Amino acid sequence: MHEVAIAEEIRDIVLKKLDKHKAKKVCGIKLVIGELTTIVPDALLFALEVVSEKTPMKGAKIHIKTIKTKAKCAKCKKEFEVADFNYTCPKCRNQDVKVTAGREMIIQTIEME
Amino acid sequence: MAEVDVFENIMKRNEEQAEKNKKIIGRALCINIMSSPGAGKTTILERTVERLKKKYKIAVIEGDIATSNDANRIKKFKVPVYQIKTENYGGGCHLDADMVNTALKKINAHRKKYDIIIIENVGNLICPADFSLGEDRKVVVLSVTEGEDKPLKYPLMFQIADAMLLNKIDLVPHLDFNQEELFKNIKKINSKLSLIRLSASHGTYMENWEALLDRWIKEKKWRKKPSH
Repeated sequence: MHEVAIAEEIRDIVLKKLDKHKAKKVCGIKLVIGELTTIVPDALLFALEVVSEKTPMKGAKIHIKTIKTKAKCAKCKKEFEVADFNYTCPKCRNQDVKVTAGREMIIQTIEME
Repeated sequence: MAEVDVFENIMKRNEEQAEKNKKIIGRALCINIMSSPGAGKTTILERTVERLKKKYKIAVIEGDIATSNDANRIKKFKVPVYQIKTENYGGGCHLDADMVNTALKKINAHRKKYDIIIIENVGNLICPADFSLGEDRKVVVLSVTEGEDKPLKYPLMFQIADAMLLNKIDLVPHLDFNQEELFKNIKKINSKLSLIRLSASHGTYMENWEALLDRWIKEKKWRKKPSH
C-alpha cells in the first residue's frame, strides 16, 4: 500500500533531475529494489503510472531490477545469499549475521530528452 | 535522448528528516512500536505508561489512519500525547519522519527533556518497516492469536526489530499455538531479537518489558551527553 508514497518520492526526485538537466520528457527510469524491502514491484509500477499523470514522466518506461538479500556472518565473515529467509551462516551455522544487501531503494538512471 | 546516472536513494528525504528528528529527540529514548491491527499495542502502551510515569518523564505519539481513539485512551494517564491521523497526509498506511517531526514539535520534545517518547505506529506489519522515524529502537508486537508463521510472512519487520513482545499469552490454553515453532522461525530471521512474553490486559510479565525499557533508557542517557 505504501507504494504510492514511494512512487511520489520517485516522481519528485525524477522531475527535479529533469529540471536540472533542462530536459523536457522522461522516457525511461531504472530502479533498483532490494527483495527485503516491502515493495511489490507490480504495485509500484501501477502507483508510478497514477502519480506521473499530467507530468513529463507520463508514459516513461520503468525497469525494476531486484536485488537478492545477502548477509555477512559476524564470526567467519562469509557473505551469503539469504534463501527462504534463513539467516543462518551456511559455513559455520552461526546466527549472528548482518544484512548487507536487500534493502536497496535506488533510482539508478533516468533516460530523458 | 540521454541516459543520466542518478544513483539516488529513494528514501533519502525521509532519512534526512529522521536525522533531524533524532536531534529533537536528544537524550530521550524514542521507541517505535509496530504490529498488525489488534495485536494489543495500545493496551501495552496503557499498562506501560501507567507503570513508567511514576519514574520517568514520558510522552506518547499515536499514529492511526483515522480517529483519536488511541490518544484518548492515553490521555487518562495525564501524559503529553499527540495523535497523528495519516488520512490528513493522504491516508498513509504507515508513519513517516515528516509526520513524526510535526508530532515532536507538538509535544515540545526539544524543550521538555523527556526520558522516553513512545511512538505507536499504524497497525500494519508491512509498510511501517521501510520508514525510519528517527527512533532509537523498534519494537514489534505479535499476539498469540496471529500464528507462528508471521515472522516468515513479514520478514523485514522481524529482521529490523530490536525486541518482540509476544502478547495475549493468557489465551494460549485456548489456542492451537506452537510457541517453539514461533521462536524457531524468529531465530532463523533475527537471532538477536529480545523476546518478551506478556499479557498486557492481565498485567502478566509487564515487569520484564519495563526492565528492558529501564536498560534502554539508561543506555541512551549514558551514551548521549547533553548537547550544551
